[in-house]
Parts: sequence; C-alpha cells; structure tokens
Amino acid sequence: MGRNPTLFLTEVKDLVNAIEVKNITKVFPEVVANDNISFEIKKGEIFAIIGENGAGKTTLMNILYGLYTPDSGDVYIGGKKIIHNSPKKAIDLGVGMVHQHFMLIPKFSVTDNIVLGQEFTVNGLVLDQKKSIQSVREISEKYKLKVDPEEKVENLSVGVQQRVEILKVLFRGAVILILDEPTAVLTPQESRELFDTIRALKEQGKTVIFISHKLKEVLEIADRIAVLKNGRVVGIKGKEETSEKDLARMMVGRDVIFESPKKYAEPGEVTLAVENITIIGDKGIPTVKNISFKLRKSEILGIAGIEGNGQAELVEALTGLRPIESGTIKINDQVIEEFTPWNIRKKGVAHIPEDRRKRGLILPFTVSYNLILGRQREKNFSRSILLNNSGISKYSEGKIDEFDIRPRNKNLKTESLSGGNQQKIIVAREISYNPEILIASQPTRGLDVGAIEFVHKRLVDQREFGKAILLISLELEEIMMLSDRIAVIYNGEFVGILNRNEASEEEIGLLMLGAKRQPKEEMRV
Amino acid sequence: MNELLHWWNRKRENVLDFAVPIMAILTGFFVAAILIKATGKSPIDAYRLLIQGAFGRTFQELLSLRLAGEGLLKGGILALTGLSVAVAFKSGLFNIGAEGQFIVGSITAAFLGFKLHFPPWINIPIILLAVILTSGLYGALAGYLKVKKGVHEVITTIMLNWTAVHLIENWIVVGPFNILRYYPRAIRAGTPYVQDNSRLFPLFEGTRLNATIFIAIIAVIVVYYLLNKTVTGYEIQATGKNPEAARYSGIKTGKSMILAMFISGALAGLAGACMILGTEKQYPGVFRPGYGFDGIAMALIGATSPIGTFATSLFFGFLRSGATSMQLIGIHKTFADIIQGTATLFVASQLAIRYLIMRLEKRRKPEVKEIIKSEVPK
Repeated sequence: MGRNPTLFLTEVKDLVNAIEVKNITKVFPEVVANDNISFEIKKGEIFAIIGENGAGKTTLMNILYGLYTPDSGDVYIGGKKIIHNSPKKAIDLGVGMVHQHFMLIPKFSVTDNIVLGQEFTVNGLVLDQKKSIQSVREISEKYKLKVDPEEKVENLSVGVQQRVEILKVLFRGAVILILDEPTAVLTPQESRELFDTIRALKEQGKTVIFISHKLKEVLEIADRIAVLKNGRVVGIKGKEETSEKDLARMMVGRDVIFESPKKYAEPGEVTLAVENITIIGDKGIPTVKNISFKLRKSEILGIAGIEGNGQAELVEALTGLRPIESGTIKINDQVIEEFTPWNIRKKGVAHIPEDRRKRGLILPFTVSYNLILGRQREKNFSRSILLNNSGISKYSEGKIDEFDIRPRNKNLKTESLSGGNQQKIIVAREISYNPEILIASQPTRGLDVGAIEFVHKRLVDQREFGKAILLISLELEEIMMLSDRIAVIYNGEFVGILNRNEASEEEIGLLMLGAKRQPKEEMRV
Repeated sequence: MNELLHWWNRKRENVLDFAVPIMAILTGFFVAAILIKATGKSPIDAYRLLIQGAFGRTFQELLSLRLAGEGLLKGGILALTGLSVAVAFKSGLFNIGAEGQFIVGSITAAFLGFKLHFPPWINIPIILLAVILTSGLYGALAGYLKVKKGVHEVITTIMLNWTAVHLIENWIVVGPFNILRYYPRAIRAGTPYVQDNSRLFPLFEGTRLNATIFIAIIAVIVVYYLLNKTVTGYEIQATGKNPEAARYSGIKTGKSMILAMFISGALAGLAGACMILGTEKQYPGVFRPGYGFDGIAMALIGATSPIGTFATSLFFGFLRSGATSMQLIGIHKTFADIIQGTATLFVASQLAIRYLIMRLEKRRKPEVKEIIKSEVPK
C-alpha cells in the first residue's frame, strides 16, 4: 500500500482493540435482548452505549462481564477470544464493572471494602491492616480519587461511595471499566467530579465503557457513542459528528422535542393549602420545618432541592404515609385530620411515587391488575364482591394502547416489563384516576428520553385540564421546564418560592445549596 | 422437537412450579428408602405395603374405599389446615398457629355438638358456623396484634397455640366441661360425647370416610374463588405481595391481614370440628394430633395455592394411612413423617433447585438457541 512500514506497525499497535464484540445474540423467553450486535472499543477510549430502557444495554454489559453467555457470537477481550466467560475470568482479563446499585458493605471501612477478597496478610493468617490502608492510599493518589481509607462506607455520600466502587475495580487491576448508568444517583456537582475522574482514567490509559441514557452527558464525556434500539446497534458515532437531537432520533426512532411542551395557563383557585407544617423524620428530628405553600388549579408547582432535604418526608405527609407534627393541610378548604393513604386518596389526590418498585407497583401482579390498583372497588372493576374481569381487561387494553405500554400484553407479570414501561403503568393509573391534585415525585427518574418526553407531556396535559400538580424532582432541568412556580427546599425549609419567569437556573442553584435565601415577604406563596 | 423447545421456553416457570413439589416428594421417598435400608429392611417391600395399605390390594378393595377412605379422610383434614396456612401466606403472614386454631375449633364443636339438639341439617351447620366464628376470631387476634401493636405473627401464633392448649386441655376439658360433670360414672377422660344429631357419620359401610372430604373440597373452591375472583382476594394478595404499595394505593392492608387471619383460623378450626364430629366424637383428654403443624408443610409443598395444597394434602393423606401397613414388616409408621419432612426441606430450598435446573439447561444450550434464533422475526 506504499506506506512506511514502521508507521504502519505503530498504527497497528495503537489500534489494538480493548474489546471486540462480534455478532452477539442473546434471546430470552419473551424478547430478543441482543440481536446480532458488533462493535470494537479501542484501547484508551471512552465508549458510551446509549439506548432506551429495555434496548439491551444491560444484557450486553452482563455478557461482557461474564454474567450471561451469549446464544451466539464472540467476545474478544484484549484480542483474545473468550469462550466460557465468567465474572472471575472477566476480572482476570482486566474488566471491571461498577454497578448502578453499589455492592459495598456499609459497616466496613473504605479499605476493607476495597481489599475484600484480596486482603494483605502477615504469614497468610493475620490481616495486615497497615499495608491494606497504605495500598488504598497509593491507588487513591495515583488515580486522583480522593477517599479516606479508614472511614466507614455508611458515612459517605453517594458520590464518594461510587468513588470507592471505582477504586475497588482498579484495585483488582482493571484496565477496562464498565460504568452502568453511573450518574443516575449523582447530583450535578458529583457528576462533574465523576467526569473528571473518567478523564483522568483515560489519561492513565484505561478504557471506559459508559452506559447512560442521558444524551448531554454522553456528548460531554464520550469519544464515540453507540446507540442501541430493540437489541440492535442502530449507529456508532464519534462525538463530533453527532448532536443531542441526532442521538435522540436514533434512540427513539423519531424526532424528540426538548423544549417545554407547555402553554401558559391561568392558575385557578387554591386546592391544596399547606400551613406551617413540621414533620419529624425517621431519626426523630424535624426534617420539614414550618413549610407553607398553596397549590392552585391549572398550575404546576415544582419543588427543587438536593436529595435528602426533606422532600421525601413532605411527600409522605401529603400522601398520608407520615403524620405531621404541627400545622395544617387543607384540601379544598377541608382540613385533613386522618392521615392515611386511603383518606387522602378519597379527597382526590393521586400520586406517582418516587420508588415505583417499592410503592408504585405490585410486581408479581399482572399489568392489568396493577392498572387498577387502588381502584378495585370501583363499579367498572367489580360487581359487589366479585372482580369484574372483563371490565378490567377492557379497561387495561385501552390504557395499554393509550399510554403505549410495551409489550402489549395485559396478562404479563409487571416484573417482566422494563422500568420505563413500569413507570408508564403508574402514570396511566394515577392520571386515569382523574384526580384534582396530582403529586408527582421524581416521575422520570431512570427513564429514557422518549419516556421522559411522554411523561412530561402527560403532566402538562393534566395541567391544561385544570388539575393542580405538585412536582418534586432532583432534576433541576425538569423543574425549570415544567413548573409555573418553583419552591426550593433546603434543610427542611422553603428558602424561596419564585415564579418560573422570574427564576434563573443560577439563582435556584444558589438557593438549593443554601447559599442564598429569599426574604419571606418576597416568596410567591 | 422444535415445538417442544418453544413450549418449554414459554412455560418453563409453570413447569418448574409443578416439577419442584414432585421432585420434593420423590426426594422424600428416596431419603426414607435409604433410612429403611439402613434399618435392615427392604424399601421395595416397604413401599409395596405402603401402596397396598393406602389403596387396597385389589381393585375391588380400592372401590370399597375401606382403605382409600382413610386416606381421603386424613387428606381432607390436612387440606383444611393446609389451606389455613396458605391463605395466611397469601396476605404475607406466616400462621404457625393453625394448631391452636384447630383445637379452639375442636372444643367449640365438642361443646355445641353436645349441647344442641336440633335435627342434623340444622345442628351441623350451626356448629360449623360457630366454629368458623370462634377459630376465626382466634386467628384474627394474631392478625390484630400484628396490625395494631406490631407484634410479629410468628411470635403471637406460637404463644396463642400454648394459650389454647392450656385453656382448653388444662381447664375446660378437665374442669367445667369434663365428662364426669355430666356422667359421673364415665370411665373415659375428656368431654362428653356429641349428640348423634351432630355427628358426621361414615358415608359408606365399613369405612370411616365422612363428609370431611366434601367440606375440604368446598373449602378449596371457596378459597380459590375468594383469592382469585373477589375484590377481597385481590386486596389480600396485593397486601401479601407488596404491603407498602398496597397501602400507598389506598388498600386498608391492616384490614386485609386481619381478614386473612380470620379465614385462616376458621379453616383450621373446621379441620378440628371435622375430627371431633367425625372420628373422635368428643374432645379427648389430650388431643394434639399435630394437623395444624402439618398444614405448614402442606401449604409449602403445595406452593401456597389452594389446588396445590389440596393435591399435596390428599397425597400425604394416602401416604399416612398407607404407612400404617408398613408396620407389618416392622417399619414404624412415622416413616411417612420423614418423607414429609424431607419434602418440606426440599421445597424450602427450591431456589437452589431452580438454580440447578437452570444450570443443567444452560449446559445443553447450543441446540436450543439455534432453533430459537432461526425463528426470531427480523
């Protein structure tokens, strides 16, 4: 080819792939999770894999990590073909995985967690704590991942726990790191730190596989991006040759609108009035202090704040799961006295809970049974003491169509659906409840762009229909996009309530961090 | 072959649901066979006697129900206590108190069976309704304590078992309702005998089989319907499968649990009543046949489904009545309990078994995937 042979050689050396995947197919009883997937990841590359919930990302990663065996196709790690993969083999080959849900022992120290299973010993018997701590310190300095080796993991913030997870993987000699939705649990600041870490790892020659469904992040951090859809690779693009819109179109299969879908409606009368409530948290100290606000018809009130500032307790009180210590809650001018979920539901309050698996769904139930959960005594779904199964079926089929719940099978067990479709069940149920007040707590957590757009549109629709919506979210972007008014909660108090058009992202950020406080008389209660 | 694989892929879970209890029981037989062998006897002889003892030596004998009737009778009682435990399980509670509820039902039946003098078609229904009420309330008490006071049901039901034993056997039966109070010259211990109008008489000449089996079948149908077709059943199952989500959706989970415990208690009580009105005819001086505890095994092996529990109970009913015959070659009849115990242990460890089956499957994966892959729509 007329090339300089030496140059050619170095090129080959540089081009050695960290991972090669050839024609991987994995079939599960109901779905083809991975359908003939092929790609290469170069050494020292940050390679992102994006796709909707259920697109097959996790299956693919589990294959790379040796948890699943593909039905057909080959995996090459460091140029070597892997025949019977297992996590142990993957680790030996330098593949490390940081799971979305951490695998740490809270009561153990950082060091103990990192060296677990590979402890240093004296004479093979006694643990050599000093040496362990020393080596953790070294590795932490080497990769600029700051941790205190002697601190207990339970005392660490989520961001630092993730750092420990990464260190754990590096300690085991990983050269290829798989990060499964690493930012899902992080605050924006923590995400930024994680990105710095990832860049540092790249500088050290590590290969990073970054799984996400947040397009902005991927464009910020990745060198190349593979888009999965329905188990297939629909495209692999370099960072420069693509855009958020382009990726979203590939992922969802159509154009996605990123702008706020809302028109401005005129808020109506007050439906929910909260006056000076104080709530005691699990630890016996007040976590919500003297909060007051009013929620009107045709209005979305967003509550912004960093996780753990009292949002969870506030929602629990408003939905009847937690008693209030003092103050009053009025729904349509009626003071609520009985704080039970059924009483509050009866008053016309529906809620999309933050934790869908724990509070939103009965996972072993069928889709149709979950679609009527809480409404099983209504006329359409029961005749005196008997369930009206034909009524339930007809209703669920309608809702499955209307809310595009997939797969379209009302008799599937809910646990076999993807997270996004599970969330759609909850949204369908709660909106169909036709409530006067809808409390939506993190309604799009863990969802992909298509599903987020869908949920947002439904929430805004509800507002147009004259409903009052309380939106609690950790995603500032979501709050800014949907709310008419924004309340900021910090350390259990409302430190500001602003009209959307007067609020800037910076100002809300400062309020969230507690760096600023709006004077009481300026709050748009 | 192709179709078979497809079927397996689709129905794997269901097949496993069915295969686990059967494998459990087979394991039970296998373990018991080893033990029989260890005592120097022949397991084959033992099991031949067991089958003959359960059903009879000839077809005529089977039809005469002389031996098989005994199995049906025991099976009916086991089915009732098994259902009792299963219903509680469905609401997420572990009712170890079926034994206590069983004897509460027994004493109620013994008392009313003695006191009431209506014709049988009035007497018996009244007694059974009263038993449902007393045993049901006794079960509901544990549910109430769980819901209102947060006391774990395993603790309360165990304690209520002993409460019932002491109240009934150390007070009522030896004191106010002792047979000697009514018949001073009686030679038996226990309570007075029930009226003939209250008896569940044998249905066929030469057998002990009575209406117990029909009461059990009705109970299976009622429980099946209740759990799967009614709003109450929906709420009980929602509570059992995810109490937090059920409560959040507005279901009164406390009410569901107490109700499930009432039904559970009532079923155990009915089992006791059937024994008193059928075979015992009185509440004996000491009466702890252990059917309440056996109910736990029945429900577990039957995967807590009404029909599974019923099938399991019938099986063990026959096993126990047949086991008596093994004594002919000097094998103690409690060998049936070994089978039951091993099977329960097996079911309790079914996650491990399922894992093993999956592993076996994985090993012969290559052919499976080829066929499925070719069918995948592109």
